[in-house]
Amino acid sequence: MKSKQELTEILDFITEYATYLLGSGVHTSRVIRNSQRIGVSQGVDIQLSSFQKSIIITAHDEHSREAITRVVAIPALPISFERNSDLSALSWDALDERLPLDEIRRRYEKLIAKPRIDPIFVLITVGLANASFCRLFGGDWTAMGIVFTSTLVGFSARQQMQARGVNHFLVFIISAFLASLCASSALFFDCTAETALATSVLFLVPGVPLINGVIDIVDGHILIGVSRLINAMLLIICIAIGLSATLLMIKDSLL
Amino acid sequence: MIAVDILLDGVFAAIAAIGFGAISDPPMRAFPRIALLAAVGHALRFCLMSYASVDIATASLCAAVVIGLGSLWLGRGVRCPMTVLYIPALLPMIPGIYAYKTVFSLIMFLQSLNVPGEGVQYMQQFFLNATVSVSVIIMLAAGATLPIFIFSRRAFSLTRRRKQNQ
Amino acid sequence: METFWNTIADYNSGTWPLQIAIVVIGLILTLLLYFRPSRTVRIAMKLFMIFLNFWIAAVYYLIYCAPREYNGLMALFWAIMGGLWIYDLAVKHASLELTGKHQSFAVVLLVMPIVYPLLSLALGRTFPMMTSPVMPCSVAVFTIGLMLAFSERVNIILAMFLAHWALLGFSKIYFFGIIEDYLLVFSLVPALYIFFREYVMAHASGKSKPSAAVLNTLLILLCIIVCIFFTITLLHQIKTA
Repeated sequence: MKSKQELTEILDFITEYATYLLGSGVHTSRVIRNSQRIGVSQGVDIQLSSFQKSIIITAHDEHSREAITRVVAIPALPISFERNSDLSALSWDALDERLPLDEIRRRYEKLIAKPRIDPIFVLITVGLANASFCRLFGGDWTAMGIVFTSTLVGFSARQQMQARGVNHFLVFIISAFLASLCASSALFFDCTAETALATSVLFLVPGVPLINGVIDIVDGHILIGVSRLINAMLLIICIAIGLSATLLMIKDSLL
Repeated sequence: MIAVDILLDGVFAAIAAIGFGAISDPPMRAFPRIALLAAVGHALRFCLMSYASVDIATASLCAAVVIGLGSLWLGRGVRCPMTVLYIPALLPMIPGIYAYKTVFSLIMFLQSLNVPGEGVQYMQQFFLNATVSVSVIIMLAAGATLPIFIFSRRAFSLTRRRKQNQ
Repeated sequence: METFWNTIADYNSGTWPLQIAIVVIGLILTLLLYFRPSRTVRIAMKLFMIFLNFWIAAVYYLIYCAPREYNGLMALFWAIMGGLWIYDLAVKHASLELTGKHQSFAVVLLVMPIVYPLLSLALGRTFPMMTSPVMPCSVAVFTIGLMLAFSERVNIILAMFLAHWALLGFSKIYFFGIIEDYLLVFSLVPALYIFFREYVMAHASGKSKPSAAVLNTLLILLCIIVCIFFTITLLHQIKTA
């Protein structure tokens, strides 16, 4: 038997947990499974349905027949696989070790306070990654070098704008434009300029929403899956807009 | 020479996967396995396409299934869900050149509306490239996701701590 | 190659009085920043940088480099850098206060615009067909020097733009054999290494992911890659010379 007070506390924690996971780019069925697992560890039945911007979640105690429902907004957080792994592991620990709620909450606070990956590290590795991507598409060494620095420009612009909370569609358009503009300088030289141009914007491709969307659809969460895909689609269109701004300027030399 | 080509392909794919993975903030312990998966997957696709003359969509599907199964197998050791390992590993297989040509031919189509013959040619190119990019992306996502549903029990408990007393 | 030097000659013979004026203003502002820093001087310096970037974009690229291919792209490139300085002025990003670190290296970078024409003369070029202090590469080196000497918080996008510019200069050496651009590359690569290193050091005390050691290794790895590229270019130069 849970008192209303206890049930509310459990629901509040699981709500925070579930919205945090959804905000960090975890696909829907995993969030549901994890939340239910924590619910089971506390002896409460949890049901939740997720939309793009909010979730509806109900905690139900079978003994007292008490049920509480909340609708909560999903916070916009940066995608984090580390949070995904850690918090999923936490839900198993909660079940396997029969942790009390305040212990789960303590561990949860500790896990989400972990440092995120260093932006400069990401900047450099993304530059190297895009350069080797250029190589995979058959670019030569000059093109690789140009793609490397173009990516540095585009990605640093993206990081700085995201840190200042600029609208993310605008962020994608501007970063794609800057990266492809810089990459277009490959045209001055005798190298695979077209490959350089094509690769320079690929660091922006929203891989996580794309694949999460497919997983959700296959899983039967078709509504949210489609909204994820539409979201990813919009971002890809933004990349295309940024790229076309450059292409319109230089199209004659590409023919 | 063939071996060197395949090896180089794998190495560059691994670097690409590490970099693109880093954007999504994976745990540091996952990086070596992400690199391994990406290298194996991309090298496999490269082999299938250049030596077995398989088309790009089918080759991508095969590589994605291998990456998906690999992430199921490797995820246990680092207590990571499958998606953490396979999303970064899939990214180097994105058909960037086709996507770029799609955008380019769309622009050229809009520029040559008044020249009938040329416009149709660009429209044809647009559909060709768009079809290839979309189908490759769908194949990649679906192929890697497949193992989640086939081996769902194992896939769902990758982050579970192994019981000491079993 | 022919057009390249011709446009430079046109530019120099057309604008040399203005160029001298710009150099004098730049010199005065830099000295003031060193010895009499004040709010007005800092704002004046940023205004000067905005002017300088747009000057390169408009006067150098749009007017005098019209015979070259892709001059519009380059003008846009420099105009964006000018825009970044306007942003900097608007939100007061870079403090332009003396950091007191890497002084000697920064001074070397700041006098580089003067060294450029001297090197040109040493290489046997004559006025007006020579590099001058108000040209893209000299401005790029000057900007880096300014950031190194006076800025705690580096505008990272600007730094990356300059890195891209250095790479272009690098390719120019490789393809067109313009020796003067070695100066740019030689000064930019260490400067960027210092920027990144400073950053890593600042974060070394706290918890970071990945650890500072990994970040440092990555930086060193990057420098090794750049050095390999360097060596290849040098060998190529020697082979063609």
